Formats: sequence, structure tokens, C-alpha cells
Amino acid sequence: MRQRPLLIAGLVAVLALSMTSWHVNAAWNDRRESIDALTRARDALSDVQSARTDAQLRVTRARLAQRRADAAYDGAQLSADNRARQADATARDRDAAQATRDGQNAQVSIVRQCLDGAGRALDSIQRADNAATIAALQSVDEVCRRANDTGQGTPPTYAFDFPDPFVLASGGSRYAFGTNATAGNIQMLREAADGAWATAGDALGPLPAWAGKGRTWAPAVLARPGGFVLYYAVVETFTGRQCISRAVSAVVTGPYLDTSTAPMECGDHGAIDPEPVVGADGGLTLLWKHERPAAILATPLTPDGLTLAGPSKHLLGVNHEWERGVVEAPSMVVDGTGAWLFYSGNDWNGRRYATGVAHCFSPVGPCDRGGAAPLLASHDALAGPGGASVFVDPDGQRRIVFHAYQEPKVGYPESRLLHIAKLDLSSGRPVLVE
Amino acid sequence: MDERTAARVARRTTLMNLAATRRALVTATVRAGEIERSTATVRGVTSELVQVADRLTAEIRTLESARDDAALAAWVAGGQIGPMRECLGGINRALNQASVGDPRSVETLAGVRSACRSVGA
Repeated sequence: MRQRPLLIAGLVAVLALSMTSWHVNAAWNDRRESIDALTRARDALSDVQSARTDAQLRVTRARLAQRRADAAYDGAQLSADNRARQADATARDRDAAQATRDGQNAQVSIVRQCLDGAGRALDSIQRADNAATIAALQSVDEVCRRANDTGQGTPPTYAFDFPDPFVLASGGSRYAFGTNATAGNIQMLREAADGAWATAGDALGPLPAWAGKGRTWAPAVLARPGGFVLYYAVVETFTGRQCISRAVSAVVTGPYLDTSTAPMECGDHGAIDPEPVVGADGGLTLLWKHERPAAILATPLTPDGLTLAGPSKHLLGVNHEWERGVVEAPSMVVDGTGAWLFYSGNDWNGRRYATGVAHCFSPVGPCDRGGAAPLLASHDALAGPGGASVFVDPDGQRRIVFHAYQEPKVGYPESRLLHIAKLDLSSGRPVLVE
Repeated sequence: MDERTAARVARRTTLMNLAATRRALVTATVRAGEIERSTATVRGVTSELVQVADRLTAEIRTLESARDDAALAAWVAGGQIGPMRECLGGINRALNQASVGDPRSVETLAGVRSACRSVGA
């Protein structure tokens, strides 16, 4: 019986040991699992950290690539902008060069056409074929006018030589008459709608028997009931003097026929530059230049304008330095103050030729001494403006027509070109508005 | 603290780190994708710009060629105008002389013969 407690104690001990062992084993297992879980967690963390590092590296690389792409974009944008600006600038340069080329080609074409026409006119004039000469001039009036326009000052309204011009407004149109040159003994122009002048031909028929060809100068036309009277200067063959004659036509464009058997007026040593003026009372007076000594004279005309009807009156002599011994080419406009006498002074063949003005009591004088300085003198491209004549437009506007060389082509045989300016008398003194 | 507890604490900490790191991974991955897409777009636009610049370069060459041709033509035409005007001036003077019977018109024409010939007049 004494062994039974021992057995029980032994059993208890074994049980205790077993339980302890079980607990120890459980604890051990629990520890191991905890450690394993930790290890797995750490492994997972390590993997994710590695992946995150890779991702961050990818971000870094992407940012770098982005910066490079942005830089490339900026460069491409700048390059494109620069090229666009360069293209615009080059396009402007091209347009300017093409405009210059087109302008030059147009000029070449114009000058060439003018050359062709002028060449034909020259051939014709050398063959004394007046009709062909006029036809050749008519074919190139416009292109030659443009060819002569140098862009300096007022462009000429007619391309060819047209000295001592006179303009008459008739029937709503304007006609210009000028000293003999390419278009004949008395050149005649008709104004076109655009203000340019076109060759109309030779206004004068055959010269009278007493007159010689080649010096038919300074025409002026007077409208009378039933017709027109053309006054002009022409050489008297027998004496060699320049004298004044007249021709008549039923229409303004002629041909004007001179049936005279002798000159109207030759002065003592010659007479030129006739121009009629109608007085305030309707009376007619012929103004003209007396040669040697130079003077402007006025002689009454019969009402039909065909005959001188009284003694000549002296209107103006040489009074001023600028005139250099010459007064000529009279033209007069009558207004409420009396009359304004326009005249030319100095050498017709140079730059100092100019237009002056004197004031007169009436068409037959008396007149004052004229201006100490010319009313119109050379300026800009206009050289030697003179041979002036006053006329009234169909709309009542007073104008003055004159010739002038065009710089630098001054002096015979260069052309004296046609110019027209407005004449304003409203201030009590003549003012020209070119 | 026994070893097991320490391991558990460490595991918890590690799991929290893991979660944060995963979020960071996602964020980085998304950001990388965004940047790469943006970069691709920029590259596409850049490529178009390069093409535009190339086209402009070709256009500039064409414009320069047209400009140079026009300048040359203007120069040639300009070279003709001087002699043509000289020729025309001589013919006009000769016309004026011939119209008043001045025999010097022949000399006047002779004086511009060279200019007239040079322009075929």
C-alpha cells in the first residue's frame, strides 16, 4: 500500500511533465510561427520596398525624359517660330522684289512702246509725211506721257514738245494750240477725259504765199459769232521778219485757213506772240510782242477780230533785272480791278525764263511796271516756265497754261512740256495753284 | 518582453511599413505613368513641330529662290531703262530738231545710236 502514493505521485509527475512539455512545445511553436510571420512580413516588405524603389527610379527616369522632351519641344517651337518669322520676312522681300521687277518691266514696256512710236514719228517727219507723223504721235501719246513721268513734281500732261501753249474751252471740251513742232505748223491737242492731252493734228491749213514754213509760233484762238480766229506768228519770206497773221475756221478744230495777202503786224523789227483779249465793254484788243526793243503792245481789233483797228499802245517794256531784256508772250485776264497782264521774261532757252504779271487799267493800258520778281519761276523739276496764257474752264474756273522744260533736260532741242495751273484772283493778286 | 511578443510587435510594425510602402509604390507607379504619358504627348507635339519647321525651311528656300529671281529680273530690267531713256531722249530731241528743219537731228541720233542699239531700238 505504501507504493500506491508513490505511483500516484509518479503519475502526477509524469502528467505534470507531460503538460509542461506540451506547453513548452506549444510556446515554442507559437514563437516559431511568430518569427516565421515576421520573416514573411519582412520579406514582403523587402519585395515591396524593392518595387517601390524601382517605381521611384522609373519616376525619376520619366521626369528626366520629360525634361528632355520639354527641352526638345521648346527647341522645336523656337525653331519653328524662327523659321516662320524668317519665312514671313523672306515673303516680304520676295513681294518687294517682285513689285520692283513688275514696276521695272512696266517701265521698260512703256518706254519701249514710246520709243517705237517716237521712232516712227521721226521717220515720218524726215519724209515730210505730216499725217503719218501725227498718227505715230497719237498712237503713243499716253505711253510717252507716262514714260516722261519721272515722279518729280507735277507730271506733264502731254509727252512731246508743246511750246507757247494756248487753251480754249469750247463746247464743253478743251483744246490746246502750240508753236510748230512734231505735230505740224500749229500743233493742236484735245483733252481726254482723264485730263491727259492727245495729239489732234495740225490746226493750220496751207500757209499764205507771203509766209515761210518752220517758224509758226505762239498761236491763240478767239471765238467769234460764226467761227473762230487763229492768230499766230510766222516768218515773212521777203523780209525774214517774224510777223503776225490770222486764219479762220468755222469749227474750233480747224483747219484754219489764212487767206491774207500780207501780215497783220510786223512791228519795226518783228512782231510775235499775238493773243486777243475781250475787254469789259466787249471790245477786242490784240496783245503782241514788239521785237527790238522788246515791249508788249496792244492794238484794237475790229469786232470780227480779223483786222487791226487803231494805233498800238505800249503796255509794258523791260523794267526788271529778272527779265534780262526780254518781255514777251502776253496774256491778259480782265476782272473788276481792271486787267492782269501776264508775260514772260529772260531767255526762253534756259532755266531763268519765267512768268511775271503787271496790273493794267484796261486791255489798252496803262499798266504798272510789273513784278520785281516773277510770279512763276523754275522750281523742283520745272525749268523755265513761260509762254503762259490765261483761260477759263467750262465750269468758270480760271486757269493758266504754260510750258516748261523738265530738269535736267533744259534748252533746245529738249522739249518744252505742257502744264496747267489754277489761277486765283480772289485775294486781289494773282495766285497760282499748281 | 519575450521573443514571441517582440516578433509580433516587429511583425505589426513591418506590416504597417508594408502597407505604407505599397501605397508609396502605387503612387510612384501612377506618377510615373502620368509623366510617361505626358512625355509621349510632348514628344508627339515636338515631332509635329519639327515637321512644321522642316516644311517652313523648304518654304523659305522656295521664297528665297523667287526673291532672287525677281531681284535679278528687276536688275536686268533696271539696266535697260537707263539706255532706253537715253535713246528716247535722243529721239525726242531729234524729233524737235527735224520738226523745225534743223539738220543737226542726224548728229543727235548718232549720239544715242549706241544706247538705242543696246536696247534693240
